[in-house]
Parts: sequence; C-alpha cells; structure tokens
Amino acid sequence: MNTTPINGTELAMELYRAVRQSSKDIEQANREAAHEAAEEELEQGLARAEELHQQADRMRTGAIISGAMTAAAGGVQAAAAFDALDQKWGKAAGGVPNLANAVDGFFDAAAKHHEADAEGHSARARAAGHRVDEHTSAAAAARDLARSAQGLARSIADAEHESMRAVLSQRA
Amino acid sequence: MNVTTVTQTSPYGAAAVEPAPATAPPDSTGETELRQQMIEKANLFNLLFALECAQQDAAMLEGTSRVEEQGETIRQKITELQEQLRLAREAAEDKGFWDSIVGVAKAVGTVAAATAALASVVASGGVTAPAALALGGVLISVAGTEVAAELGASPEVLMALQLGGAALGGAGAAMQLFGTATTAAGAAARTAEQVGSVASGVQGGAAVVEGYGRYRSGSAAADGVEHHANADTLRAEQRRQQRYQTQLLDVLAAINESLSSAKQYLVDARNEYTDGSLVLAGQRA
Repeated sequence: MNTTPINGTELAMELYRAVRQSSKDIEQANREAAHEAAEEELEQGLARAEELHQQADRMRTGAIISGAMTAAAGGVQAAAAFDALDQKWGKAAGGVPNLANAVDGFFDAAAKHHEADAEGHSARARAAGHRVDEHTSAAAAARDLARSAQGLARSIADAEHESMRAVLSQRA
Repeated sequence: MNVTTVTQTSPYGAAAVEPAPATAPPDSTGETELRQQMIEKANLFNLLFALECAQQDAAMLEGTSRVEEQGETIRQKITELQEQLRLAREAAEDKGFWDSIVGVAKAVGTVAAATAALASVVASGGVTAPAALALGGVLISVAGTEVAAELGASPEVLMALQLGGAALGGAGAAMQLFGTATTAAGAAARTAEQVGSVASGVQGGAAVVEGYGRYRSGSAAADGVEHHANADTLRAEQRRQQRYQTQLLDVLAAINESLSSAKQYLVDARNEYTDGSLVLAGQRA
C-alpha cells in the first residue's frame, strides 16, 4: 500500500502551470488575430477612402464636362440670337443641354459605382473591427482564466500551509 | 531565541534580511550555519527581485511615454478630422448655393424659351397680339413667380407678379373686346421679332450661367466627397492608433499586476520565514 502523502501545493502548482501555459497560448493567438484584424480594419478603411476619392474624381469630371457643354451651348445660342452666328447653330445648340445631362448621368453612374465599392470596404472594415473586439475579449478571458488558476493554486498552498502550521503548533 | 531584523534596501519594497547578532549562542546541530545560508539566499533573492523591479519599472516608464505619444497623435488626428468635416460642411453649403443658382438659371431659361417661341409665332402672324398678351400674362404669373420664389423673393413680390400677369392677360382680353387688335397687329409683329431675339439671348445667357453653376455645384459636391474621404482616412488611422493604445495599456496593466503579485509573494515568503522561525524557536524553547 502506498502511504506517500499527496503534496497539495505541488499538485496545485502543476495544475496552475498547465493552465497558465495553455491560457498564455490562447491569449497570444488571440492577440495576434486581433492585431491582424486591426490591420485589416485599417486597410479596408483606407480602401474606402480611396474609393471615395475616385468617386469625387468622377463627379468633378462630370461636372466640368457637362457644365462646359451647357455653357458653350448657351454662348452659341446667345450669339445666334443677336446674329453673331448663323441661326442653325443656335438651333443645334438647343439640344446640347440634353446631351450634357446624359454625360452628367454617365459620370454620375461611375461615381455611384465607386460609392458602392466604398460601402463594401466600409462593411468589411466594420467586420474586421468586430473581429478585433472578439479576439481582444477572448485574450482577456484567457488572462482571467490564468488569474483564477493562480488564485486557486494559492488557496490550495495556503490551506496546506495552515494545516502544517497547526500540526507544528500542536507539537510545540 | 534567534532573532532576525528586516530593513528596507530598495524603493521597490525589496528587503534585506540581516543575520541575527552574534549574541545568540551557537548550537551543536549547526543551525546557525543553516540559518546563515538561508539568510544569504534570501538576500540574493531580494537583490534579484529589486533588479527585476527596476527592469519592470523601466518598461512601465517606456510604455507610459509611448501611451502618451499615442494620445498626442490621436488628439492631432481628431483635430484634423474636425477640420475636414468643417470643410465638407462648407462644400455642402457651397453646393446648395450653386444649386439654387442653377435652379434660377433653368427657370429663367425656360421662361425665355417660351417667350421666344411665342414671339416667333406672333411675328409670323400665327397668333394675334391680344392672344400673345394673354399668354404672356399666364407665363408671368406662373413661371415668373417660380423664378422669384427660387430667388427668395418676399410673398408681396410674388403676389405682385401674379397680379401683373393677370393684368397683362386682362389687357389682351380688353384689346380683343374693343377692336384695337387689327391696328396693333403690325406693330406687334415687329415688336415680337425683337422680343424673340432678346428672349433667345436671355435663354443663351441663362444656359451659360446654368453651365457655370453646374460646374461649381458639381465641383463643390466632389470637394465634399474628397473631404469625407480624407476624414475617413483620418478616422481609420485614429481607430488603429486607439486600438494600439488600448493594447499597450493592457500590456502595462498586466506588467503592473504581475509586479504586484511578485511583490506580494515576496512579502508572504518573508512572513512565512519569520513565522516559521518563531515556531521553530518556540519548539526549541
């Protein structure tokens, strides 16, 4: 029959070491995942901004072209009205604003396309942000677990120590 | 009874345990030597702990200064972000202004186009002068009030335009009733021709203004989107900095906690040592 007493403190320390190691690994993995997700969040945020810049470019181009067409047509119409140009040019210029509207619509559609892409990047950035939060919480939970295991090990050691001291006191 | 004294040797709480004075009588079991060895070990541990504390303290200090740097960067980003949002708001106001100019130019162009068309018909003898006056009255009361409304005219002005339109329509009707239409037809045709030219010119001018307004309005809208894009860039960078700062703070908190635990364990160990000595001393006594 084995009569060797079980050393509670050693057992508790072994348990604590095992829990600490695994929770440290979990915490590290979650920290790395959170870091990657945060980088992705930044990347997607910058991509969204880039798409918005593209949208602004299309809008500006559309505004310049359609504005220039409308103004030029107006100039031709005015010139024709005061006989500086032939009347047929004035009549022809009358249809240009509609064409300008069509050009504006074309660039507006291109701008909307970039806006939609920007929204896509925005959604992906938000998703990455949620992942960061989740991994950060998981890392904190792993740390809490290690802390609890430490507390437990400490309680076991304290209890054993108290009992030993009681025995010593009785002997004294 | 063997006595030990404890003195503070570092600002980190590490204590050096000094050996008992030589007044204690040596015993035959070599307990004094054993105690001496334990004390030396304890002092070594204390020194190691003090060193560890100093290193951790330096790490904390560095971490704190990095957190402060991050905080400064974040504040700067927020200021830039606010500036970009202010510019975006200004661009939106600018766009609103130019949109209203485009609206007015469009309305003026529409009225001018209708007037030119009417004048052209009158000049070619298709419509009599009284009928043209009546139609002009309708145009003024409907389209004219629309233009005035775009320009932000007061209700009195709008009412005056409506009344003027109605009066013109009434004059046309009166001309037909009293037979003055025939004599006025020739003069009206000549006048209509001139009016038509002027109206076409006005229509062209309005189109020029409309074109410029469209350009300015579109540019302002594009500027607004640009500023929002810049704001988004800053926001993304700021968020990253904040996350980094939070991680840094977490690490600092963990270091601090670990340091506190280590300190507590050291104090506990020292207490245990002292209590154990007392118990042993009690046993010997």
